[in-house]
Amino acid sequence: MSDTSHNYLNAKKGLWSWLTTTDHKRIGILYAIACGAFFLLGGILATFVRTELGAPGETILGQDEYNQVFTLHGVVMVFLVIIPAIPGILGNFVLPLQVGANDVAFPRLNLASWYLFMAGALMAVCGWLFVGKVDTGWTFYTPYSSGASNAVLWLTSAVFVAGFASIFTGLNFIVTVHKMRAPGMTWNRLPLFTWAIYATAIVQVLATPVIGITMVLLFLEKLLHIGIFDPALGGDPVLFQHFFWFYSHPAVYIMILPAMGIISDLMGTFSRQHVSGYTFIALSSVAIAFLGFLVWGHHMFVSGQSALSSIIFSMLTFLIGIPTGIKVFNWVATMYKGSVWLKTPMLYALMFLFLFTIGGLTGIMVGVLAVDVHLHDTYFVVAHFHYVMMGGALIGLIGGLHYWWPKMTGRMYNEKAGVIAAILVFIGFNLTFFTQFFLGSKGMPRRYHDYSEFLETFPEFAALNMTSTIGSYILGVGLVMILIYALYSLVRGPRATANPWGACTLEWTHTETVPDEHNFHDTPLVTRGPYDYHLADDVFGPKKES
Amino acid sequence: MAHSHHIIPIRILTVVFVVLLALTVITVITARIDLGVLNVPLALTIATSKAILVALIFMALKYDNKVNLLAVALGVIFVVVFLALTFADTEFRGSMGITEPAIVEPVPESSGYDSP
Repeated sequence: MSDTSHNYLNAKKGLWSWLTTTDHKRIGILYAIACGAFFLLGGILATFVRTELGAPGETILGQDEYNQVFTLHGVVMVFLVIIPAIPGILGNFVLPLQVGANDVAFPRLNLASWYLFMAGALMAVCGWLFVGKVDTGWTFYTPYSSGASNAVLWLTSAVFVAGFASIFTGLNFIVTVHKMRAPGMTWNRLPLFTWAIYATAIVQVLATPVIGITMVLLFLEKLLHIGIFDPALGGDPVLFQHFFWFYSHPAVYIMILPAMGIISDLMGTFSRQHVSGYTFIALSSVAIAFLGFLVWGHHMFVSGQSALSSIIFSMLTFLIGIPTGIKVFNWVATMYKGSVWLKTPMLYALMFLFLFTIGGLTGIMVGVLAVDVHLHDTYFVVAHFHYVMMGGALIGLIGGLHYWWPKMTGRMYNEKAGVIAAILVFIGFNLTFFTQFFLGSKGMPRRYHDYSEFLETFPEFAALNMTSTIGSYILGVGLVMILIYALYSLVRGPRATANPWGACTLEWTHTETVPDEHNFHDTPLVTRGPYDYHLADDVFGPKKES
Repeated sequence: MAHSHHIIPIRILTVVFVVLLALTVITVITARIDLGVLNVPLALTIATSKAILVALIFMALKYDNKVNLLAVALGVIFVVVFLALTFADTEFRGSMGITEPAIVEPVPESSGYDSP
């Protein structure tokens, strides 16, 4: 690609052209910049948290500041990074290209979604700076949140507004997949990333309104004193947890399903094989989306909910291991006898496989009623959900960004730097969070800023916490390294070839390396599946080592 | 792609409108009569009937692409799931897993043990 070629990046110039764009690719980039900034903020906050816990006693944060910092870390990472990032960045950029469409179904609604997301983010940050600091944790549990300062209302309003961005994005993707597929792009020829985004979109549309309603109910109770969650007003605080987790558990699948889609595409491309069990992987995404709605009560085993519902939720929780297991086994089978190419995106795919499996299996452990009573609110749970959310969702996102980076920017990053950063991230992540399984199983509670009082009984807490903190610094170095070589690649990176990975989905085979503003010069006619490498070789030649 | 919308005859719309008005009157009347445990189920039945009529006829789901009907049905199913599993908690709290406190017989002093 030459500098003078016409593409979506240079089709229009100036900040205004970006802020008013309805091009799905540019909106994807807008999400990338926003989510990247929030990820940096959330990461800095996490570093504060880990530094405070690095040594016993109060070190850099007092107990109130500690509560406020971990709350903001959770809110920013969950609502402003992990939930919107993959659908917002890669869903927007890649999905229309993969289905052979020239844009999403509702381009203006797509831009409106980004503005809503930014409005929600701005409300959260402004509320934090000018109204007050919330210390309820990202779950806003009542009665604590209903008795806390009005700053909670700001933050919950921000979540409410950002939630609509999620609903609109989901709606857009559902309609795009149903109505805008290119001729020949049948459902069983959809790339698995698109399948995963489609399943995610269903969850976004069905579940997100519930968090909106929950936040409105919290608002009404606090302002108008209508008894909903507050026992003093005749409400039921456990009801809040039902409302909250009816959204927030499916939200875990909003986070992880798109990452699973990325991994499926990476496994196929970098194993140079048809993805094993394509239909099963596609349908297991839909099964996970459906089952994800039935298990929210496993967050509430010690909340005082009835024993009957705890038993029901525990049993349903085990079911979700089935479609997840189908995916994991099929990914492994895809590599079997494949021509595995260990480029940076594939390293992240392998990392995902390893870390997510640990996250998933420990999820089964805390899904067991008796075990959960012991582990609830300990660092075991913190480790478990970080293995799923960071080890799964974010590692998938980073792998996907590496994979589609040449398509988005037209440049390659430094492969050696990519490998070193991936190794640092892997080591740092495991040092940080695997130690927390030990801490949690010994009973170290989460959300404590100081653990001095436990040291007499558990002296190993000091060394484990120190190890975890050192791991977080290594993880931080790895992530900053990615940021640096990505920025360097934008300026000095070598030009990407047309299809650097030898992939055979439409975005690689039928568009320019940096796609045209309208994606395709002609409407593509799809005559093969997304991972039919034996057929794709005839079209653009076999994969070349570089 | 151009597609035609089904035009619902004005007669059907009028009939549905009258039925909705009638159901509203029934709602008001039944609200003034105490039917005991049937109060809530009756009110919900009337409200559901009205919602179904509006969705099928006024929103034309009866004549529309069945995928749209599926989308609405999914929403309803998930509301039912939410209510059913939440009621499995709120209606059964304390009904399982809680045992009566053990009745502790005082130990005779002659046994040599201290009474608990």
